[in-house]
Amino acid sequence: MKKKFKFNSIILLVLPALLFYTIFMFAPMVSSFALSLYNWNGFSKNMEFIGMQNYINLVKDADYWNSLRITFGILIIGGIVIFFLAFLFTAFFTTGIKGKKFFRTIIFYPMVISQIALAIFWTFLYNPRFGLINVILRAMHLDFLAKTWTGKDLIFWSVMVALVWTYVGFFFVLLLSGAEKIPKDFYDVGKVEGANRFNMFFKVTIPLLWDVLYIAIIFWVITALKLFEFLFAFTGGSTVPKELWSNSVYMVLLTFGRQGAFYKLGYGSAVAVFLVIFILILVAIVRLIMRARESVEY
Amino acid sequence: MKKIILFVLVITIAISMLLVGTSCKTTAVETTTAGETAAETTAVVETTAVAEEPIELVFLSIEAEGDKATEVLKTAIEDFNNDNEYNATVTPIWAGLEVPAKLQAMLQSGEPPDIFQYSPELISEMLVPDGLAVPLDDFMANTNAYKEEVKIKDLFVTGLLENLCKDKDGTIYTFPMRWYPQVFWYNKAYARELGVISGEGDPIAADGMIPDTWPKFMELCDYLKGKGVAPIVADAGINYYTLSYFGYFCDRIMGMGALREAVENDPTGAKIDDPGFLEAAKCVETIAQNDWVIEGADGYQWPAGQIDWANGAGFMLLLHTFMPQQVAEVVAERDWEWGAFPFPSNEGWEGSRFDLDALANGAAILTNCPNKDAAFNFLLRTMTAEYQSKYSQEVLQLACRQGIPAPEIFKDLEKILANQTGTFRTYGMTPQALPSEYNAKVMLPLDDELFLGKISAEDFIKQWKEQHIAFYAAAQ
Repeated sequence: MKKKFKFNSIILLVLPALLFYTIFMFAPMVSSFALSLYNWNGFSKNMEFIGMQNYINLVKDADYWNSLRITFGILIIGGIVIFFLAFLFTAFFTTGIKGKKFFRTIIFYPMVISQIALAIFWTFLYNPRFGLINVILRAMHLDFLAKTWTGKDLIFWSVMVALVWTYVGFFFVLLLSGAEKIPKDFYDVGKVEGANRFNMFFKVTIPLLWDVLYIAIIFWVITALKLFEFLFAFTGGSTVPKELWSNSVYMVLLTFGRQGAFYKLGYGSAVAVFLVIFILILVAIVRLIMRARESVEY
Repeated sequence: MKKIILFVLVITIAISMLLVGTSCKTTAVETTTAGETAAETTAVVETTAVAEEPIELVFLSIEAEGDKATEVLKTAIEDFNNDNEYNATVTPIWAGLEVPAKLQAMLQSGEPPDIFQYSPELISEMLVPDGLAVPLDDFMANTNAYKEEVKIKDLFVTGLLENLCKDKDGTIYTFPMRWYPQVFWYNKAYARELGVISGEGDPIAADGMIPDTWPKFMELCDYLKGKGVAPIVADAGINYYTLSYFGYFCDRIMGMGALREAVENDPTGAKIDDPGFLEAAKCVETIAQNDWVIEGADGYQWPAGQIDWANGAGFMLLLHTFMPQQVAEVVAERDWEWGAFPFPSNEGWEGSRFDLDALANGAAILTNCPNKDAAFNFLLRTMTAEYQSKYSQEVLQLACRQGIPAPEIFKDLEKILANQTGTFRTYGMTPQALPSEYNAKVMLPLDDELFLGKISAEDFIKQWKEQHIAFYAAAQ
């Protein structure tokens, strides 16, 4: 009797969340998979069932692989730079520097601004003629360094810099909040043992930050894989050049982009399904790597 | 516990399957075969039955709330809603550029609009294959303009209906509402300062150094470069803007529609071997090799290029008639007099310099519309002389109706239009004359390379042909 009551209670408590998750998360995912088995433009009532053909085409699609290359470029290169800088700031701000709150706010600030506004702001900075970057370089008589930052050759790297600037603050604050919770005693012991700053950071801070770092990396993986707004707005909200066709940009182009969409909703759904699979695989990899090192309880 | 989890999972999957099954069902949009639709349309034209029940016509528009064009269009809606013999009212949805996504949602929810405003190309792509758009040929041929004794089809400006709004099969599905031809723009005050013109700079007489031929165009560019002025400004960060050069050269050299013909009607790529395409590519190569395009053009993220141009960074800008409004605030602060001239042609070339490339948009009536007569009558209200004049003078754009004076900023353009010999669709710009996927994957990236001088004309043709064949092979 008691067991049955417990079972009913669990079902009752879980049901609202479960229904919500089913309707708004799980059902669209299954629906996307179902759509990916059709040749469909999103307008027609005639959906042609083509089985796995969209997936076969995807494997042969050079533009899709190019979009993956760009996405993983942002994920890996951007990730390394962002976490390097975030750790650098964390290390710096845990030394007891004055004005920490002020600098933390400044560094975090880009995260509270709309991605669209940030992207437009950066296009002005990068403008080859009147952009602040080139104006400063020319004023310093460094004309040879004044480049066409948003030209085809450099646009990926220019976007990367802007993305790092945008996201580093968020990850810095995340890591700093974890670092600040580490008891001072650990560092005192380290000092007594003769550890220098470098050793203390790697032997004390990082192991004790392991759980926060795990969440931060997962968050960055998901952010990088579904990055769209910034890339879209950076190129004027019009046609995104091939150099910035990330996986998400390509998916929007395929399905229902504002201008120049290909209207291949079935094919676009196949890209979306692959994206979900990639996210799951990457999260699993990160989990495996992070689990390999036990987090330290304190 | 395992049983509970299993139970929960089964329930979850069952609900998902139910939802997916529902969402994948085809929409309840009533469609008919093309033949039936045409017959129905003819019948509708002949009847003038007044609906007994009030009818609401949902109008899904590309216009955005707050735009001047929208405000003017609202007057036509108000006019219709206040006085029509169909007991009908038009309810607009101002969707802006999100209009395709909105249409998708409305179609899938089984509540399509009755009237849909977008580009003719995309109306053909989205609605025509399923018989969702009503052919308007009979309406156009048999209906008089609103309260006038002239057929509506005879009121549109040159080529608008025939060249911009017809489907590939020759049927008209789009009632023209906007059009934007593309010409070279320049500041006459600046041109006088530079010695390019001394007087009015008439585009027809090609006063001063205003070019009417390709050799004269090259002379002008050399002259400007010699003066230290960038001859051409282009928002080359937008790849479909730069395609206008290659597109125009193709159609000047081989005649209107040459590029479209080669792209759409020949998967083998044999037509690309036509020497005209190489000649067109060489013309673009000449522009690139001589550095006539402003430095850093490929880094411009729209609207940086046109703003720079309006600030006097270069001499001319090839763009559609929507551009002057976009830079109005910048030019207001300068000594500015709008000048325009058409893309030059040359002796021996097929196309005239008065064949203008243009964009258009318009409205389609959907087959589910409860009263097509009423819907068409509403569209007729947007073509009255009064409405078109209001549109022209308040929105500062060109009217779709003949004989409506152009705004002052289009004084030169008005002269060009008076001599217009033909109209063809802009190739790169959205709405696109070429298939959007082809443009995005093949034509635009390659044309970019050519325009920015990164590949030669010969390489461009070679790579174009290879990628063209690969594109169609992959599409099969």
